[in-house]
Amino acid sequence: MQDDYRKWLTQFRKGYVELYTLLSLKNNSPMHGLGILKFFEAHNLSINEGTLYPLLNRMETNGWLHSSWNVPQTSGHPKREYQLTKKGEEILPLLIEAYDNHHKSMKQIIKEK
Amino acid sequence: MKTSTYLSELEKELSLLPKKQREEILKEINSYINESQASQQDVIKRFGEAKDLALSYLEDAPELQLKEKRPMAKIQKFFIALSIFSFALVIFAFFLFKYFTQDAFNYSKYNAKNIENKITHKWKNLENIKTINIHQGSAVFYWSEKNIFKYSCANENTSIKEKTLFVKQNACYFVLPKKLLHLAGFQADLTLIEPLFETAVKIEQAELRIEQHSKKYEFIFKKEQSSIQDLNSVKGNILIRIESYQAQVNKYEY
Repeated sequence: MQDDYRKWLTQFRKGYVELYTLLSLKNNSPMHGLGILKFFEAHNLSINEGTLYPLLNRMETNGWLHSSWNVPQTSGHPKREYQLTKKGEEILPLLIEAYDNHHKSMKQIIKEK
Repeated sequence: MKTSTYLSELEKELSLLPKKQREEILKEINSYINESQASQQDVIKRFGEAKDLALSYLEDAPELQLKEKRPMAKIQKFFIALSIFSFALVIFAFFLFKYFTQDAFNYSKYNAKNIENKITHKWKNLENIKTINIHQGSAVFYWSEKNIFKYSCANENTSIKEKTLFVKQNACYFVLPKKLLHLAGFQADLTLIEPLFETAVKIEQAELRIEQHSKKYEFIFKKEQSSIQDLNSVKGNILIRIESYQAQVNKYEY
């Protein structure tokens, strides 16, 4: 039961983490992975690194995000920073609308019961 | 687990991804682990097993990206295997060629006196022969101080006509007298070991090798589409006339 739930949650997260990532970058661009995780934490979303980073990679491959390396001038490690592309900005309202519609449908189905 | 060990495992698991993308992923995760305020062990734990993390990257990678990689890897493997096989084949062919083309023994170490003991085939005497004609065969010529004129061949495929000995598809050894002889070869391999008398050689699509030892010779060449190497002509010495067409003339080397 626990395993089934975890598997489902992993798949489910992929969708909404993408949406939240686009939302986080909409107003806070550019951000690195740690910044995005902190944004999630601040909004009570528990996501681990092993879920976020492969998704960031996929979103960049899809053309929704663009990344570049920010090399600190003094000390510290270079950080990969992400920002929305035009394609990412265009798809965000569609994802929000889809999410809203699914949410409404689910509420309605539950209500009908 | 050490960060370096974790990253090595991850790199191995991500081998299907293009190199550049793989490097970016590793660089990013390494940077994150080092920058994080939590302990490295905790961060690695949150990333999950390297195998699972790699699987997430690979699942999320577009199919085309992986498909491009796989045929390339197969093609590379195929060409590597083909190269190794070709190389082995060339080496094998080289040794096979050497085996079949190498002289039966070092002809230059023998002379007219002791070659008889080396060759087990029957020796036959010759008389009134002015020309020896070798057709698609090999022949080694030694010169006798005592004017002995005889030969020994691997088979009986020889004939005499108008003072010419014809040897066809045969391997023969000759002991020649000190008199002018004409040696002819067509698609043949002729070897002259220290000639003691003037000799005329006419060859076509053939190879002629000459062992001089310490002797000097005056060579007169008449060649067409032929190569002549490592033979120095010194006037006033034993005359060797060589007429060649599409042939090679070299110093004897075993």
